[in-house]
Amino acid sequence: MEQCECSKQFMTAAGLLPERLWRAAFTIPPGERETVEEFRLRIGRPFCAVGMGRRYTLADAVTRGELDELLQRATRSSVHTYMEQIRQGFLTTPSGHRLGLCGETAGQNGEVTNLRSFSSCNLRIARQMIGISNTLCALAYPDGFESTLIIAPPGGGKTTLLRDMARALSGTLTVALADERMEIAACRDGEPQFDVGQCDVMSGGGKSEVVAMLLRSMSPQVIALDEITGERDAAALIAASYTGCRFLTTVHAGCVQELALRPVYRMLMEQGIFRHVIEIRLQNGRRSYHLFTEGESDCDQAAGSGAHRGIVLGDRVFYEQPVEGTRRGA
Amino acid sequence: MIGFSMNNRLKGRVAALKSFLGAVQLLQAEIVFRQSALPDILPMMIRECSGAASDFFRQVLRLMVEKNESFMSAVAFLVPELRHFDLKWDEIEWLASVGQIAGRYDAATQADRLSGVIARLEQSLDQAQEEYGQKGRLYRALGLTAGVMIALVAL
Repeated sequence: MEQCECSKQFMTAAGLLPERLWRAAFTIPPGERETVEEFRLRIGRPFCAVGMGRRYTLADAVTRGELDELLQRATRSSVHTYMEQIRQGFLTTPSGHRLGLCGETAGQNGEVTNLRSFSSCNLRIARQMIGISNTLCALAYPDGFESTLIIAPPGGGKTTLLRDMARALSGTLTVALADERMEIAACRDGEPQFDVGQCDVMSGGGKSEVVAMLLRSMSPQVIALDEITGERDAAALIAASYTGCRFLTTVHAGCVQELALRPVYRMLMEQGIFRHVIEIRLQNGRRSYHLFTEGESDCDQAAGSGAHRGIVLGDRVFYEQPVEGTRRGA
Repeated sequence: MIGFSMNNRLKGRVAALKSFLGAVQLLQAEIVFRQSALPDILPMMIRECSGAASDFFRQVLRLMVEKNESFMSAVAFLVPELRHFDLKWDEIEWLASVGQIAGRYDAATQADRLSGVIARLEQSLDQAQEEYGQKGRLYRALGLTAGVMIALVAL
């Protein structure tokens, strides 16, 4: 079932490619397609796929026409619909795949207003891994859900884990998804393309506005949202935390220690919003999950459960809890 | 017969212009206010605009879905079909330009350029209605007179 889902996602992502590249994508052996995480297109350079630390060179130099065709398909011939995303350097396709864009920036008053003359892009294949959060959820929330932060470097699988956790939690709690980049649920005509269980999904819009809207309209117990990056997002989370709502969110960071180095994340940790931090580590194409829980060292160590490695974040101490299991691929 | 045929052509031109004008207005509104993607707007245009525009954009959508063509290339490919709707050459050119505008720019730029097309289509529609009002009656009368004459000759 999982392999079938992966294969479907590979097919929908490859389906966006111009015909020559589409044919090249299918030269990857069927058994390895599920490990492919992204396609890379650079004008004048070979067409590549990347996955599990491995690079597949699939075809000769990519042409401008092919890049334009991919963009036209990804935007469904409707640049205006994706303008705000393009300005930020990416766009999410209706199937939930993310197309990262690179080219020349057009600016006004020091701000990037558009991207033009695209030179390269990467098509990241969105995956649904149903059940990957089961062990983590059972370990982290024996007494009910507490706000959780997922951290990993880019391409680490944060969104995949967030999606599955939101799906799992929505079985017992009222979960709302603030899907700014439309990657978590990938709603099309209001219907999520991924299984997000009973979640209420608000697609697009800035996180700070959407969090306030969800609190007013859907009375969520948990709000799940992707990639906290700016001070506005953090301030919105802090303000909303006083309403009793809990959060499940992700940030870009190489490891837990990096949370203390960036002011925005430090501010969040100092406010004590998050009780758990899940770190995703990538090694030899395998992902492992590491759960850090606030201030639970004494009892765990006394019980000999193997808890270790206390980390100070803000003025709180988080201790690592052992989590079994790793997963392969995207 | 010729009189009736001419009258029908004038009537058909008015209907086609009305239909395309409604379609372009709907396209503009959807792009500006809802920023919908073209493959979502086209079914609405097919449904809500009867006649010429509905037929034309149905073919455009079919090309986009079945052949994976862009909106621009699908419209460009189907421009010759517009001749069948009794439109003048400059009207066909304006409608063809919709293919080069829609979906290619930000919403404000598209709205601006589509407004130009709408203004020209409105002007054409006014002229076509006026022409139909003036000449339509004449052509019908000619057709009727010719019919009576033929009937008399036949008797």
